[in-house]
Amino acid sequence: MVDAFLTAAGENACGTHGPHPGDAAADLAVQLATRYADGHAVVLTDEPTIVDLDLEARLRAAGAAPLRPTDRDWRAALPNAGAAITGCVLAVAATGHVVVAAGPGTPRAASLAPPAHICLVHAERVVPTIGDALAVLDAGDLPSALIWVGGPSRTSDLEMRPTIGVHGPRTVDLIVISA
Amino acid sequence: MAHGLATPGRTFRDRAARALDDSGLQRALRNLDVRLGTAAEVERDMRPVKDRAASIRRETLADLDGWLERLEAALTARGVTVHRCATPAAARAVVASIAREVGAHVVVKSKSMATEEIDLAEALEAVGFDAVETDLGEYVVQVAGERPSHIITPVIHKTLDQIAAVLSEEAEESLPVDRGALTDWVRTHLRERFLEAGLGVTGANFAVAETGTLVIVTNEGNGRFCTALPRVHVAVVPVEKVIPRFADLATLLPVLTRSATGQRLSNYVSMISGPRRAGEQDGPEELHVVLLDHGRRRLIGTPYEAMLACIRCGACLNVCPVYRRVGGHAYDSVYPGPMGEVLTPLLSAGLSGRDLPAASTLCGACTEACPVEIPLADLIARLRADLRSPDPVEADARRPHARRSGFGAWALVWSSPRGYRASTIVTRLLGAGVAPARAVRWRRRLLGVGGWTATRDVPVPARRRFRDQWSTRS
Repeated sequence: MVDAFLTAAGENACGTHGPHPGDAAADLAVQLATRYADGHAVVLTDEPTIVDLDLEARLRAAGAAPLRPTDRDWRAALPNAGAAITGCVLAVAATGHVVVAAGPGTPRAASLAPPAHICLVHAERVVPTIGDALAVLDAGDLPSALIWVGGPSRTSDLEMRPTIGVHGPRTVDLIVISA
Repeated sequence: MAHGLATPGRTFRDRAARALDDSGLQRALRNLDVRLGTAAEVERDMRPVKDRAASIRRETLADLDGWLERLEAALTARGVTVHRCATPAAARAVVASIAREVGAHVVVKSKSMATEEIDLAEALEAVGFDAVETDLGEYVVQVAGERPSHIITPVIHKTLDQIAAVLSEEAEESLPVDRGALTDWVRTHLRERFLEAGLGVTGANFAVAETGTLVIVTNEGNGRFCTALPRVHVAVVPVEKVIPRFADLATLLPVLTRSATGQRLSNYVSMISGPRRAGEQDGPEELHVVLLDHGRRRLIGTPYEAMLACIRCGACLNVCPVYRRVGGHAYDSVYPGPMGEVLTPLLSAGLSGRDLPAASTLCGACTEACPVEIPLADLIARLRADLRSPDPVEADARRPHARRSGFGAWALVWSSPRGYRASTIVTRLLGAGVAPARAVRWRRRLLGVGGWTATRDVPVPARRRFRDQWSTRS
């Protein structure tokens, strides 16, 4: 199912990586983020995936500047950030989407404003279909916003031909962490 | 709903004629072929899912008011302020007053047909706000001072050269005719607006009654910005957008996006359940939903009820032989193509779009393409009759007007063998003595209506009727 997910995501113009063990996945995320950010800040969320793998320390060790949602200047610094590393609550094999949830420490704009989005996906969170994802999400306990992300921002408004990178990220990299 | 900005002309026929002579438009419309291939594919892959989608829509409409009550209760429980608005004017007033309270000069808008329907951007501009469309195509259309010509790809009527010219004028520099460069310029320019906006305005593709969740699909990410950064978010939601259950999205989302753009699922799907919660760093502090009726609920229980199943995918536009030749502006309505031919006269109670049901060949391609099984061609044919009354919806209640027309008389004559026989005798007499060389002139004179015979052949009646030939056969 992880293979199917990565194949679908690849068709959506995502960079696809893994499955890798946690450490290797985190190192790859840092390596990609540092390259994309090119000296600009790297946005992090406070999700367990990001905290447990200690991406903040890894970024600092790599010479990058992490920006956390609890930092006082988060909102002001966001427009100049060069990349973001987030986790996700679910991933859908049939369509190649990851589902990110808004909440304290996981702002909506984190995966949106920076030009590069790197998303860490736990292999056990990949479900087969949209219907499976909706069932897992539990209608009784929905967060204030769920954002399904299928790939880099795109439009077909220019003579119906796809163009990448309109408002949101120009690149989306998905790194699967092996179970 | 008078939107003849781009293609002036008083009737559909005038505007269509102009559109056919517009070589730039004709070149641009050829890009619709991309979607034609998609339509065939969708038809093949999606049939079982489409059946489910249609049945969910029928279930919703069977108790629309009930589902709306549940939706309103669920939204309210989440801290959303619900405004029920019967008319576009009421909806505009609500949004304008929210904008005034927010006190923000810049309002960012995500693409929404409902806000087009109520002229919201113009109304906000008129009272001093800077209402910025942020969908790339919609932004080009706004800067050009035009109207969208397609409900999914608003600037389908322009070629890349023309789009570059529009954006260059706005940028006050010459931008290259290059997709990447134009997209980059719009990205940079609109990013500033997102950051300074105090109010974000969106529509919603679905509103889930069970959970009070607004669902917005986009590809560009502008809808995400409109609902992430501004302090207040207003969603304008026509009443028929309500769906019963969260789980119904498993059917309706793929049906919508496959039919609209051919994607398995749109690039972004936002599922918004209430405003920002305690401890969250972004998202709107206030969330308002404007539930817009505008002549919709009175369609329930009439033969036009099925039109409310429409999910605005645009598939009927893409396959329509008329739309594909004349483009959206010829319809002079927010909603063009087959769905617009039905919706425009219905929503306006017959005040606009009266000649739109004639803009159809009744070929049925729209009915076949519709993912929620709306019998569009049948509704168009019915409207042609009902529009002989001032309000087509009222007309249906009083029905027996068909007899007054020429078609009614025709039906009456041909309802009896004697009437039919008499008509064949009259026709033979009319055609007698016409030499083949003079046949064309004969046709014109006989019918006296150039509109019908300009593109159709009327054969000269045979010297001997078929029934005479049959009775004397050897």
